[in-house]
Parts: sequence; structure tokens; C-alpha cells
Amino acid sequence: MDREIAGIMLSFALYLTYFLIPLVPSILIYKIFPNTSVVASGSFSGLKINSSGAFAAYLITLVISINALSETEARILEIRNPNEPTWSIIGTLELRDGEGNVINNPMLFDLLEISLEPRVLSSANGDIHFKIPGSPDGSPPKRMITLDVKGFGRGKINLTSEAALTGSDMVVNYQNRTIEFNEPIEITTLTQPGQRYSETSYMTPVTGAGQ
Amino acid sequence: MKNMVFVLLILVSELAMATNLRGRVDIRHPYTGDLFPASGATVELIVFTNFGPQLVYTYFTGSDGMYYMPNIMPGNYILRINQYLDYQIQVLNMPYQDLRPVLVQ
Repeated sequence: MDREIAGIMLSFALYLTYFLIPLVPSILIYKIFPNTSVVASGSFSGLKINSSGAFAAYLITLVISINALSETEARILEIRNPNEPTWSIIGTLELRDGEGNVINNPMLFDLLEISLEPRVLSSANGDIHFKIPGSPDGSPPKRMITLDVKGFGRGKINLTSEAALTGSDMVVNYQNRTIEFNEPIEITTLTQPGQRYSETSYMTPVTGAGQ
Repeated sequence: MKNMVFVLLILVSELAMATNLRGRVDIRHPYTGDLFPASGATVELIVFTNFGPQLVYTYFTGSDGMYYMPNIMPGNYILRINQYLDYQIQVLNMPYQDLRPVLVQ
């Protein structure tokens, strides 16, 4: 069954339960102990409550069951929305120099990197773990991920095609929504051996110039 | 009309003299000692005038370590890397000029 439909049905069942569960003790109280006086008074959701009899029993059971069922509701919401909720940050960047003047150089935006604190990426000794937004249909995200080791090189994770996702180098777990790699992801250096310069080919800095 | 031609000639001659500079910034890998392109390096071109040093162009290198500075007039300049490493360079009267790479430690 589709996740969304299952989630809606579960939500409906939950709201029905919210209504029916408190009804049971209140009917029992009404039937078995018709002369017992149950009183409920106080404030509930901003409303002042002052009731008695079976309705008071209903209210009391409702308050108790709300707490008990709230966790179930959270689980149902998780089923309906399999991906972690994502937020879009929308804005425009402006580059300024040290004196506050606007720098108009669109090429610089190609170098833009965004980091988060706390980081969504954790890496230690080459082991990486990070989260990315999924596709709206619940399938793995169709994205090309670039891993850039500054000053060294770059590697890519290709999730853009179905063929890439069914490759032997990765295991896609649709239940846990994880993509795990069997083999190391290669980060290749940008400098090829033939392109390397010897140290003598570098320019020599001018000591104290421009100071 | 004569003045316009004169101005045009000056403009054309100025454009002809402008040079497109190109170069690369490298960095040494701290563990292997290998040399790699330095991404994110700040490359500034500074000219010294009667009014003191003037910033002509600023560029931030990409992952290939390359920097490009279009339409630079011939003359003597200082190429400043990461705001501390200075190199004296001479921009020549030619359409394109490749500078020798620089190494930041």
C-alpha cells in the first residue's frame, strides 16, 4: 500500500480512537454506576470545564488518552512524511570588499560553499555520514554529490540514474532510507603526474614588496 | 570628426595593449609533500602609482588553482597571494600571458 494512503488511513483510525476510547468508560460508568457522581472541573485547552456524570468521565479519559496517543500520532506522521522535513532558504548574495564596496564578479559565486553548524556531514578517518533531501515520491534523491578535499582532489557520487542506484558498489535500503557503499569512494587528485611542476619552476616571492 | 578618430585610435591602441593574464597557485600537501592546485586562494594584482599601491584586480582560485585577469595593461605589478605573499611580475604587451605558477606553503 502506498505510504501516503496508509498514513491517511492510520490518521483517521487514530482520530476515531481519540473519540471512541473515552466513550467506553463513560458508558460503563453511566450504565453500571448511574448514581455515582463524577465531577471534572478546571481548564482544558484554554476552556474552563465544569461538568459531571458520564460526560465528566469522558473528559477525564480523553485527557489521559491524549497523552498516551500522542506518541502514536508522531509515528503516523513519520509514515506519512518519510523524509525529514526540509526547509528552503531563499535569498540573494552580495559580495563586498573590506571597505564595504559591492564587488560585481558572478564567477565568485561558483566557489560558494555552504556549511551548517551543527554539521549535517560527519566524517572521521574517511568514514562519512550525511543526509540529503529525498525525492517527493520517497525514492532516493536523484542528485550528483561532489566530495571535494580542498587542495587535493575530488570525488563524485552519482545518484542521478536508476542504473547508478542498482550498481554493485552501493546498497540502497528503501526501508531505512540509506545508501551504503561497499567499496571506498575514490577521491582523485586534480593534478596528474605529468602536470606536476618542479619546485624550480615556481616564481620566487619578493621579500617585503608592497609592505 | 578629427577628434573622434583620435579618440577611437587611442581606444583601439589601448585595447590592443591589454593583456589577459593567467596563472596557477599551488600548495604542498602536508603529508605527502606533493604539489597540488590551491583552491580558494586570493590573488590580487597591485600596481604602484604616485598615489601609492592600487588594487587592479582580485581573483579567487577555483579547485584547479587557476586565476584569470583580463585586460591588464602592460607594466610592473605585484601579484599578492593570500594577502601576504608578494611576487613582482611584468605584464607584457601581448594578447595572452601565462605567469609561472606560485607556491604557497
